[in-house]
Amino acid sequence: MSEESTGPEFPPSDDRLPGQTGRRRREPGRLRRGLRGALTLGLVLTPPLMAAAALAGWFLYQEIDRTLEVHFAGQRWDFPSKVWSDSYALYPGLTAGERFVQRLERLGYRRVVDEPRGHGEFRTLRLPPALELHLRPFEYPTHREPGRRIRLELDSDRRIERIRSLDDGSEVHDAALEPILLAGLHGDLREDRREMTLDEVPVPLVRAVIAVEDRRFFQHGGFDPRGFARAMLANLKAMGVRQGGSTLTQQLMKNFFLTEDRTVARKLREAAMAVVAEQRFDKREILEAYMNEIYLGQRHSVGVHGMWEAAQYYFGREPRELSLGQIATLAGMIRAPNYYSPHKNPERALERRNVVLEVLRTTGEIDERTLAAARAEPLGVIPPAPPPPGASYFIDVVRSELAERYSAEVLTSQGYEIFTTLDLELQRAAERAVAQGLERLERDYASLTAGDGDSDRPRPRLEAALISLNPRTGEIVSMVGGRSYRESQYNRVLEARRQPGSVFKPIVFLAAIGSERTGAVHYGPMTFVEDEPFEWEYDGRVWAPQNYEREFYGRVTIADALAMSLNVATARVARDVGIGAVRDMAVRLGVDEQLPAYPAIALGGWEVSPLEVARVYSVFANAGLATEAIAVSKVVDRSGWTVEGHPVEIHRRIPASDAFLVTSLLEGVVARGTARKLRALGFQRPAAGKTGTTNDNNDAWFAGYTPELLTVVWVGFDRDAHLGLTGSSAALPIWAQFMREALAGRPESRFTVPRGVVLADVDPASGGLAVAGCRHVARQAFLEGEAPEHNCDLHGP
Amino acid sequence: MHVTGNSPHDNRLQGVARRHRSAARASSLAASCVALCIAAAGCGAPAQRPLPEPPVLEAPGPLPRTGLALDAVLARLSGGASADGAVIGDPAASARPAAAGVDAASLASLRITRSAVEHLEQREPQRALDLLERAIAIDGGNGFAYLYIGYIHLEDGRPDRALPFIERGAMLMPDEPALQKEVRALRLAAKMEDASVSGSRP
Repeated sequence: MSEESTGPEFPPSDDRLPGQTGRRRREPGRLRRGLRGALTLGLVLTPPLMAAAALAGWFLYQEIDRTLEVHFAGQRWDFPSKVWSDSYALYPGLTAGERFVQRLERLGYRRVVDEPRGHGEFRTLRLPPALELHLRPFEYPTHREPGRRIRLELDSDRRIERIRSLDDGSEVHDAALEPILLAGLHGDLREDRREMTLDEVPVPLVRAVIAVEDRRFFQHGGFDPRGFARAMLANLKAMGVRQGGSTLTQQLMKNFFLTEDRTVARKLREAAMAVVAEQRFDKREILEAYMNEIYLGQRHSVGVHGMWEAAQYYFGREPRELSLGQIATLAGMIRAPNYYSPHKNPERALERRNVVLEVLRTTGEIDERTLAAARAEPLGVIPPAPPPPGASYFIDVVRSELAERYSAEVLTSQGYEIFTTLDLELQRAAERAVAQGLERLERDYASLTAGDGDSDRPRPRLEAALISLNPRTGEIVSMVGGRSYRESQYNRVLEARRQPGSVFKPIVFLAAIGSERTGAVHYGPMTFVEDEPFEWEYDGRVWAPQNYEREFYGRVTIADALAMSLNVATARVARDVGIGAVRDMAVRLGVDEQLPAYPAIALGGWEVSPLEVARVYSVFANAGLATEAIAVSKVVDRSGWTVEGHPVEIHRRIPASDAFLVTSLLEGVVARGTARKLRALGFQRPAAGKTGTTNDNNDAWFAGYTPELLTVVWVGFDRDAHLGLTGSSAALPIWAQFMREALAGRPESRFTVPRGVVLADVDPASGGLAVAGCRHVARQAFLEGEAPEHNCDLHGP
Repeated sequence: MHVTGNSPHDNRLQGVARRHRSAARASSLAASCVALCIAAAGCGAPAQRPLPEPPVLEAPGPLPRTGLALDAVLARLSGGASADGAVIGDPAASARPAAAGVDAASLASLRITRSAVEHLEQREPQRALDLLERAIAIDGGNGFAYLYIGYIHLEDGRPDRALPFIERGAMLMPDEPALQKEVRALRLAAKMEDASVSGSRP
């Protein structure tokens, strides 16, 4: 706009004379002219100013509208994927003793005196012995556990005899304790929430939130001038900021799009966004978003958002199961979630809850009687979730497996439920066994912590790896990749390739005595082999195997050669069978195909990972069937769709009879061989296994199994430092401690004898049928028609 | 998570199922069920009865009859109590959870298998598969569970997956010639299916 044409004429500022300071004297005509000019200016400027303001408002509206469209109208939140442990099946035969109660308590179940009425409650009964349990609801990939009330009927040893429904008395065969959350796969925002519709939010909770946060929610249009004025007045009186005066919609907009800054600009924008949001979305949508968005505390490093997540976290319940007192506690927390946290400040939380209840009474939502009843309620909070379980190595495996198929963005935003095979109780037992086992070794053998004598370098810390799986299904139930995940994320179960030593020997004997044997000698478990020094010429080289203790035992049976882990006898068998056949058998059982065919492999002179060893031994344990080792069983999206599933797969590797022969030989190792210490360590179940110690004494192994669980333990240093311990002294105690704990309370079972196999009581020293005078009697498996027919000639006539 | 219906996997299971319904398999399964009943009950007399006309199979039709056989085994092992705990014969028997010497894990595994059969009957093969996997995790000697898993994979059009389970199940079933014969027929069907799927000849 041109000043000359429209505005009054003012002298330029430099029109004053030098030294002139006073105002010019106004003349009567000039005043009138000035007023007229101002009016004219106002008239002229108002429309464009209004137009400019309207334009700015329109742009602001468009910008807010676009923001809401992009970030609020579609998927509102990133939902981190959740990694779950396996569920824990309940069935007759399990012991529901102290350990079971501990398992329940770690799951957050509460012991009650009366019959359990709420989800996650249990009580124990003495006469007749029983345990009553109100399971929690859980959405499994294939079904929903509605949260049944069940009764575990126990015998005098507290073993489950029968499981019945507490509601109708029918027998229950498919009960299980729900999985435990192992990890959330978060993006930049570390927030946990589960979305729910407004219909799923209990009405009292909605009323409580509105009553304490925004009573005129249904009257205002996003911004409430009355509420704002009231808040400002209260702040003025208090000479400080006491109330925000924000409506629910404003809070929602602030949480979604704005910062926590207490500035006028932020407040104005918040109000503007709230008004626009209310024009775009109806009150129900806004309320629903609020119920899902609201921040309600902290679970370790992750924020607890939304009423569903908070109800679960603080009370172990779904929102619809909350009592009025619990509802008031949650509603009261909105103002300052950590200050009023029932975990951190239960007294404050109680006080605040009662204030909320009072508000509800004042607003007519509840009567005096209800108020009194709710005030009498305890907080009812469950203990805070324990720190994230230490299954870090396992979770790494899950992450890397998923990363092959899903982008990081999908995993951190789509809320997949990832079901794994891990048993968290067994995982804890495994971590305990490894930690305590290594400490024990370092205490008993000072050389393990002394400086490295071979070089100037300091000796690294002693390490161990443990993997345990169900050989029938391949499900990995626990995994310890090293001593401390914090210190080293190197997962030795998968990545460490170490010489297996004598752990390899069963493969040699399998190649010799199995039904597919091809050697010149017709070996059986009681066939004699010479344990005397010999030289094996191979590819122009000469190899002379030695026994570990440099002693030789002369004529020994195959069974004893394995039980005592005799290198020379084993090498002789390997030479007879052919090292190519041994190598092929190893590969068939699951050893990497790069395994060369040279004599030293018969004594474990090749590097394998603990996982490979577990793979091989699982074939022995599973009647000759190989299973794929599984860590992830199912991935389910938020709508319940199974995105991927990994059913159990089995593949025949060797005949069941051959596998049983090996198991029988390995039972001999435990009964009278290098692993006989196992019984002294308190492990009394039927078990088969093999110790392993490398020639240089750098690696100690024990690979063993019961019918239901297979575990491999390795102990050593990351670089080739001298361990100087055998598998029996270093790895076996860890195995024993873990397996004792892992199988405690589970019914004992025996190895199934397959067709084509017969059992005979023999004297393993003579190879004949045991007679009265035999000092050692072993129940040995033979292929049908191959059991000895003669009596022991060492002790019999 | 919500289980709002069958997953594509379930649908595929049910859809593919019809491809496998040959009269031969129907016959073999029906006969095997009867034989299994006989074997399980330890009674030879019913073997003289003529076998019923094999029904036309509707997925998962053939297996409920094996479920009856399973019931018989459960009743025997439970000392007179049937799978749902109802007393069959001696009322006092209901007080005994299991016959002496019976492995508790085996019994539990069989009962879970029975639950799985019910889910199969309700056309919930995925849920059934979960339970059957649990059953073999508890007791690796449960031949029924292996057979049913094999059956589900076969119905799913995965004879390659099915075969090892069927073979393992066959090995673990009672050594009853009639039963074994019928299980062999099932195995043959799986092998033929496998050959046709893989394009090779058996």
